[in-house]
Amino acid sequence: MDVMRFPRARRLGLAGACAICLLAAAWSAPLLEDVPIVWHEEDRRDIPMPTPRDPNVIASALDASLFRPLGRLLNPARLVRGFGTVFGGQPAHPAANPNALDEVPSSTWFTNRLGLFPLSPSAVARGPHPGGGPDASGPLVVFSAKTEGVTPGFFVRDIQGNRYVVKFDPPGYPGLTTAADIITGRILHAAGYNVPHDVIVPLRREQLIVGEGVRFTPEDGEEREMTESDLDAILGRVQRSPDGRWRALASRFLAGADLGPFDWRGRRKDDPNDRVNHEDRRELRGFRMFAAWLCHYDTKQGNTLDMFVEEDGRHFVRHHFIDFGSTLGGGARGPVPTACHEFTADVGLTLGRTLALGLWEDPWRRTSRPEDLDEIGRYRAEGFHPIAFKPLEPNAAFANFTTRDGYWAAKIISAFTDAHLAALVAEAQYEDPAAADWMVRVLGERRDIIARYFFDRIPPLDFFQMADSGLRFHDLGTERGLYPDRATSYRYRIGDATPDGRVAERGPWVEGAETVLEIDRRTDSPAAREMRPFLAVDIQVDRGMGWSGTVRVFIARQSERVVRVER
Amino acid sequence: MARVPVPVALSVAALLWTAAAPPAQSQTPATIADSIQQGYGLSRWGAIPPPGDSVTAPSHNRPMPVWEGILVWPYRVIAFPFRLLADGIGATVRAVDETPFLRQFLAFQPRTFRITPEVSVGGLGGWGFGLAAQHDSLTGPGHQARLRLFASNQRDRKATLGLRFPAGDRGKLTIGIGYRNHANTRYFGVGPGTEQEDESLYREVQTWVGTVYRHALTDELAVAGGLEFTAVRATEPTSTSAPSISQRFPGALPPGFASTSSGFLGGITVEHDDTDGDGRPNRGGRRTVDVGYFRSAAPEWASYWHIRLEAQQFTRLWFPHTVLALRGVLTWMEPDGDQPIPFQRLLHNNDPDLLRGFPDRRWRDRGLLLLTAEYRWPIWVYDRAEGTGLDFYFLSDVGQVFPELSAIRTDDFTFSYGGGIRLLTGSGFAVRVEYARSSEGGLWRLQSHQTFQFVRGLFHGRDAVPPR
Repeated sequence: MDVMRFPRARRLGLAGACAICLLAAAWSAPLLEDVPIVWHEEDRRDIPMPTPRDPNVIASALDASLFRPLGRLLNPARLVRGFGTVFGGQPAHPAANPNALDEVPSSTWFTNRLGLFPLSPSAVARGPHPGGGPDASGPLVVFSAKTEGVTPGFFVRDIQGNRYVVKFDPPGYPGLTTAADIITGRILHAAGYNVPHDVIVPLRREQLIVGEGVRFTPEDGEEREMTESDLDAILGRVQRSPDGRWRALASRFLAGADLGPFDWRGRRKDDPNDRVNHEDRRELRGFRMFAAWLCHYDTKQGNTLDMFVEEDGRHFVRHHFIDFGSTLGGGARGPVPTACHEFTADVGLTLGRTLALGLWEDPWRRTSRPEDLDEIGRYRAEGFHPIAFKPLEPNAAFANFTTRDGYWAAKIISAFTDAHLAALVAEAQYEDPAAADWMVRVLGERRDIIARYFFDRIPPLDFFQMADSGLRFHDLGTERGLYPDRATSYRYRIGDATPDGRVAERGPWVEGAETVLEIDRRTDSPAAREMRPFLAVDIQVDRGMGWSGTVRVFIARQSERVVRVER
Repeated sequence: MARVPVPVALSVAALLWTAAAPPAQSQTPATIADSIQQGYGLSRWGAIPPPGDSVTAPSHNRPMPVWEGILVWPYRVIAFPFRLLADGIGATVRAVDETPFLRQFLAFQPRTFRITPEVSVGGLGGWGFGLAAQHDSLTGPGHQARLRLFASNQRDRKATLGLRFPAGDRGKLTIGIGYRNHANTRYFGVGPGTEQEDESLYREVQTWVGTVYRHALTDELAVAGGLEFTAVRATEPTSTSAPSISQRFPGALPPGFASTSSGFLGGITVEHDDTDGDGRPNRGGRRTVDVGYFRSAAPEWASYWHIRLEAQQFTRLWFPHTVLALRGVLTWMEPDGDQPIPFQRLLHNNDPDLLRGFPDRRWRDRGLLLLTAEYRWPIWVYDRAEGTGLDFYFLSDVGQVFPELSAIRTDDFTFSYGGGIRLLTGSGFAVRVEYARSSEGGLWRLQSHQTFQFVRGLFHGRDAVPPR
């Protein structure tokens, strides 16, 4: 009898492929447990002070822009995952630190705020240190100054001993970067990130005095002691208000010892609390959407800062984002047309433009700033696409971004109401009310674009809680007004689940328009509870476009606690 | 009584604790901030307890799926040397960036005094290295000095000094002195009909000193007048890679070989420039008329008139930064008498009057006609459209050399075409790499000048013969 035979190499290849598939199938989620949800990450253990980092800006940029992207491009696992995206897969493995509800536990990186807690507009606008501006009842002593760069700045100490970085807007653009700094800082803080407290201060010359022995290097000169005339020269380069004052941003020094920036990839090896690779932390991956929303394009590691702090007798590292002047379409040299559209060294785009032979125009060349609003940068909602956002440097955490990370970020972003936005934009103290109106409107429109993008891909059914009436949930798409003209209905089915997450004996789909699902507890027998101690509730939503994907909620029969949410 | 597990008890206690508190919206602002700063309170998920054993746990990296490990670990082993290389490059960059002398040397930071390197690779000049030092306020504001020194392994040498001073609001006085030894220079004969096979070499030594005063009449119109003394000597080359001029043309050596031509060139130039910037204009143009008279110091060589007409035009196409750049040059020498003009003073295709696709000095005669077109589009920019960036371009050069104006014929036109990439900085043109083909083959070119809007004159130490 003739037997069809494969060549040896082909047989080996086939066996290898089967082995990989089996191993992939064998890798599964952890077991379901009827235990409380982890809401806090244990990363505040007392540790010795790590060594401060001082990465070189150019070398870091080269690494982030060239070597790391090349490494990701050639990584075979990423190639396989990239191929899988064609069939609905994700370009990277899931984030490492979400809890069973797919939320991020609060940690030294991130503290759940507006995403989980209802906050008033005034609380959102207050920032990290209510009333945290410099004490204007006494002089501000300049203890350091910078002359490099387009916009000068200096460090001051107020009479209470608090230290601040004082920065100004670029010449010709009053309010551009200082307002952006305030708005972005307030938003990121309300979202949950650690940021410095920034305030707008109107500075008068007589408020400022140069401290004793302050070293200073004038442009094209030798280092020497700083004088009052040096301060005059610095202020002479800054645009002055008609009332003779200077609009400045005072950014309060962070508490603790400066450890330098954190890297977006890997871990700080000398910090035992730092146990998750940064590129796999959801809050850093999801930061991509905040950056897209706010056009925060300068996300290099130099704009992050780790501080070694002491709390309750314990010493640990807290991780911050700093310096938000390069956001909302502005920058130190004025509005930046390419901001958020391309990397500084964008090989793919450069190659594409070369092949296009000049017959294609970059979208950013067609956009402009709003007319007559000098305080606003190149920040618009028209043409905005959240996934098209690019910072100046490719970012290792952004490169691992998955749709679930995006959903998590979109959920927080969509929690900012128009009232929240108006309150925090008011903190930016725009001179022109039309500029403030513009900013609130564009922030809101971009917020909705991001939310719709992810809520269209992952049904925004969230915040599940068992109540007497059944399983209660929130439809964020409806609650947040993202689908105003669509009728919404839901359907669900209930099955029994074993601890390894397998679901059996699913009931029929039940349709309804309510966000409370009736869970029939009477069918629970002791034997069923023993064999299948969990209920699995599959829920879908239809907004007139067909049924969405499924959100699966696992509920412990014993405690009636929601123990896991899968999207 | 059934025992309640400790975590459950804690959880219930926390729920009761938070339930006892009034709803978040009704709390005072200070209370909201205090609790939520710690990440607990009554949340949309229900009550989130404060940090405690039951709700606090360390996070860990997820274990890599086995299939990923199978793929990734061999990759990491293979990539390890490249990772080391990348780290080495990073360390080198850091060392360079953080060494003040090197920063200044490589002009990373624009200063009033800066030194920039100049490198040549291959070609007749061989491997060479030089430095250009420039000071922008030597004896006062705007008093500029530029010193260039260059040497190569083929004995090319260059030393030039340029000084430039402001003269009133609209005037500038430039003084320049220079020496250049081209150890090996091409010669194919004179006229449009020379053959590629006749390539030969000679050595050319130039010295010059001169001054030019330029006065801007308006923002667009300027006149310049100058006087230069130049001397050019042609002798045997140092390289044996090709026959010398005396080997290739033993019975017909060109007039001027093995002798020095020296004399004074006085001239006047009128320039009209209404381009909208340097480097990346998309409208306007430059028009230049040069008329000069060269008085030979040696009676056996001709004195002559030198006329040069040049027009450049930039036209925006379908997008603002997709540009067609056109350039036409007509330049010729008119002898004043019957003596011959030494061959080393004749016009030839050389920077910036290039016939790309042909080697420099491939064509030589008393006149040169050149028509150039470039279709440019930006492929990369830093920050903003008018900033530092890369352009790609297609190019085409058409031209010929001629002995008389009446000898210009389309039959003698040479044609070359190609493409290139040019890098522009915010302050102007930086460097270009291009490839062009002609009937005689293809040629790569790496240059720090551009064919359009090129920098000229005594200050920058450009070769003074022939005048351009």
